[in-house]
Amino acid sequence: MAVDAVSGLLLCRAGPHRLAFLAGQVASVGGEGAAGFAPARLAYGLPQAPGKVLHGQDAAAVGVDSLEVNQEQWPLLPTPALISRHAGGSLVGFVATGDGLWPVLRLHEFWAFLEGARAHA
Amino acid sequence: MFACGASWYAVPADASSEVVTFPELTRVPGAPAHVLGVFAHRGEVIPVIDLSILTGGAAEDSRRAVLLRVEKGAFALTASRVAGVSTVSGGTEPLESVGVKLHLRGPAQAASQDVAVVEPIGLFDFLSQGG
Repeated sequence: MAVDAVSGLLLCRAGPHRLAFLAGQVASVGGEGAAGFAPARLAYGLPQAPGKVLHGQDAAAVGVDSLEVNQEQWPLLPTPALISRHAGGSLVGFVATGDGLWPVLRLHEFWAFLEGARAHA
Repeated sequence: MFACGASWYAVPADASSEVVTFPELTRVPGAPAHVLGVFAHRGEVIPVIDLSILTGGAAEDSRRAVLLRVEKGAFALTASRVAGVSTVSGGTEPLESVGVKLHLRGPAQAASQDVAVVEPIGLFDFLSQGG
């Protein structure tokens, strides 16, 4: 099984859940004063809570509870075909740290998924 | 064959690779409730599916699962009890013409139990299309 490596991750939390983004896809991190962000908690059916907002190179902005920058290199485990369509197809793969598995997401696609989910909520 | 919720299921022996005890799962963002999460198993990410939720029942409280492998990938079905390998007899028609029960066949019997026979490839395709 071919396994790529990935480094430069933002390891984030939404409630008790783990999710990660490629740092190269995040242009800046700000507070929730910015308008138009989509909370990652929506993907888990959780109510909104204060946190940080990850801004992409474009309009994409995703809110998370907390985050830490991780510069280590990790093997990127492929996304199982059975779940590749979830989260709007934004799953890049998974990394396994001592805390467990982290889904690695494309910021823009995940934001678009959250916006769609919010529109249908 | 294995139990999940109030029902017994059978899977073809050539598709069921092993019974696993899984660790704490990682939820997949945006996944439906029957996708309980994923875990790493020998360097592979395995999605865990609760057939009880998928068929309209209550959530299964178990850390055990039957690992199935089809050409497109692997997945695990939670199991409260595992009864080993048995010969299945009886009907082979889909239990319903739509939904997940299109991929469950019967009515069948094995080891004195009524069982639904899981059609692994059809179930995989159903699940991967968001079912």
